[in-house]
Amino acid sequence: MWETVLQIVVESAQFFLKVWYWIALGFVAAGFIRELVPQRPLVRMLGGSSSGTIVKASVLGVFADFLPHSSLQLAISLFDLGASRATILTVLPSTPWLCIVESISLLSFTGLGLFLVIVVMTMVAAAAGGLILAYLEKERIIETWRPTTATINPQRHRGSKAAEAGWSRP
Amino acid sequence: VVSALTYSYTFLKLGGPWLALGFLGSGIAKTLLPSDAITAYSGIPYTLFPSP
Repeated sequence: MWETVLQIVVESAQFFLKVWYWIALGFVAAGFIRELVPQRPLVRMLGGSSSGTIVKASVLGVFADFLPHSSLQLAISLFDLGASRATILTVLPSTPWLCIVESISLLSFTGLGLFLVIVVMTMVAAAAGGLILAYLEKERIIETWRPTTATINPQRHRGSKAAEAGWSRP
Repeated sequence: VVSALTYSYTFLKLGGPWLALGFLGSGIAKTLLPSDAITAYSGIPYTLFPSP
């Protein structure tokens, strides 16, 4: 029993040690994106939950696998900038594979035709998930509260656009 | 730069526990699932997956 638990801990640590620097790089990149990307155009582009926005998000997700293991960090950053939850739920699963290297591996395994089918079907599945979430939020079946750095650290954001936008617990 | 890194730290606090959970899941899968079964199921040698 304890041997298994120990092995699980060791395997988890080995996975972490293989990729921690990419994850750290992703968090640093997310911080810079949050700091440097202007908020207003991004909210205009990804802030809504319309079907057009969801489709845009699914296309963005396909191009978001530029940095290994950093899709999550990118998503957190966009979410904090004002992208809607439905948009983020679309961006994340529409990244077809973890990084460019693995995309190339997939391409070599499957060939171009099947690879494109996989990419398109991933986009469709991601967009479907986003549309379902948008519907559930619109109908108030699920809660719409969103944690952001503005709500986590309100003093830092006092008077900011995020605070003005009312991103706080209702 | 300091402001960007402060955001990074905040994001790490937000996403870190979930990432840790993911790594733990990877460890559980790697320990408890037989690798030959995964190879047979996916058709791709397990060792070709370089990361969780």
